[in-house]
Amino acid sequence: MIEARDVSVAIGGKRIVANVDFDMRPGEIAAIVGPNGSGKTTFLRALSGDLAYSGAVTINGRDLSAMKLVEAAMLRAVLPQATTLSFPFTVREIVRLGLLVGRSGALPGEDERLPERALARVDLDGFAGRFYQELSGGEQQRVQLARVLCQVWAPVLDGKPRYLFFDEPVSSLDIKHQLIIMNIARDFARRGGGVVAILHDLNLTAMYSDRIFVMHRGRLAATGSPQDVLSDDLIEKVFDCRLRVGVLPAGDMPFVLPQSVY
Amino acid sequence: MIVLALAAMPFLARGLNALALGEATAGHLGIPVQRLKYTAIIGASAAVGASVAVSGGIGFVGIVVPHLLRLAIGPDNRYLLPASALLGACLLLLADAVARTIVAPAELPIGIVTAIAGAPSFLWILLRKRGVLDL
Ligand SMILES: Nc1ncnc2c1ncn2[C@@H]1O[C@H](COP(=O)(O)OP(=O)(O)OP(=O)(O)O)[C@@H](O)[C@H]1O
Ligand SMILES: [Mg+2]
Repeated sequence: MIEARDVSVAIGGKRIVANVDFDMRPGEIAAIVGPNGSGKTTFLRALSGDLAYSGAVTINGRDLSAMKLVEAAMLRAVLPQATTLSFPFTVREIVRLGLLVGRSGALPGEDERLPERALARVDLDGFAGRFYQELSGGEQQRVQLARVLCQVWAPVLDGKPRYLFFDEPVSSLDIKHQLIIMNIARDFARRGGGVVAILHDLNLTAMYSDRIFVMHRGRLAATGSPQDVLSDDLIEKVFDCRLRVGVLPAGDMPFVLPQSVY
Repeated sequence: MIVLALAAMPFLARGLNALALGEATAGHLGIPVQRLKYTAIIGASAAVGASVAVSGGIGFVGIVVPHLLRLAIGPDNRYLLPASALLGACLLLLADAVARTIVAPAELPIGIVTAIAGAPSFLWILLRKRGVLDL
């Protein structure tokens, strides 16, 4: 369970996130959507313990601001929006960094094999020996995902749910790999963990998320199930462009069809 | 002090590897970034201070050896740190032998020998990194 009450973040005297309330239960994928610069990354960084915030955040009932780095590292793994690498490490070495805190939650003795297994899950079999810097953008993004998966391999540890914080996990992936990654997120949630994902693709958001948080100019503009939140009015207003929200014939899943800038 | 710094290396190496992904990510992985940076910097300064107190300043060894080795054995600090210490010591031994013998019975300052070998190597590493040179 993650609960954030009235969270505000100021950077350099400027208020970037204002009065955000956020809740998620284990078993769920919570999506954060909103236009560029609306404060999504800043909010997730506060949730990750990177930024000072006002308000209250608890993860599994523990106050985030009182949490040690190691405790947080056992509880959640973070995929940042962009990662740079300053030295020529191999893919295997990068993914192994996910095991640093030493509580992957895999069966005893299995940690050694986790990097290979995580790479297989993100469809990067055989990439372990390659140099990270020589991979394509989408491949690099999947390597970072594999690293993050290793860190919280078991969605539940010592009876407590763990969390994946994803900042645009599929931003440079092709359609197939977008689905693969979102399936991993869904699987993680089904097995008792929780996923917070910042997404720009509203259709993927509708397909996969249990709850959507719409951010607009640092504030929460709306929150609810995809069916509740994805409406022409709200989405047009928040994203400032013309579009159509429809409902797929099979089931009640909404989809968004972009039309034009005003 | 040098021994203390050597003993601390294995404990720092993994954290330093994580830092290659940036300070925020290292923190997410459970690395106490500020503490690690202070420990590494103070440890390195103390060890360097102690060695310089014994031998005087000898240029280019510390700056060239780790970079050369990173090209040779990769950036994993678990191997890079001890390898740098070893290779640095070997090179100094060699430089010392050269300094004592090349103009015998006189003796060349050892810093001149390391500079003659080190400066071109450093230039080579720099140019290679910039992509100017492909050797
Ligand atoms: N370190 C910082 N210093 C100053 N301003 C910042 C800083 N970080 C973010 N901002 C500002 O805060 C606002 C929100 O940034 P944030 O990165 O949270 O946006 P976002 O919703 O993640 O956008 P995107 O979809 O482009 O990733 C932006 O206007 C940005 O310029
Ligand atoms: Mg962002």
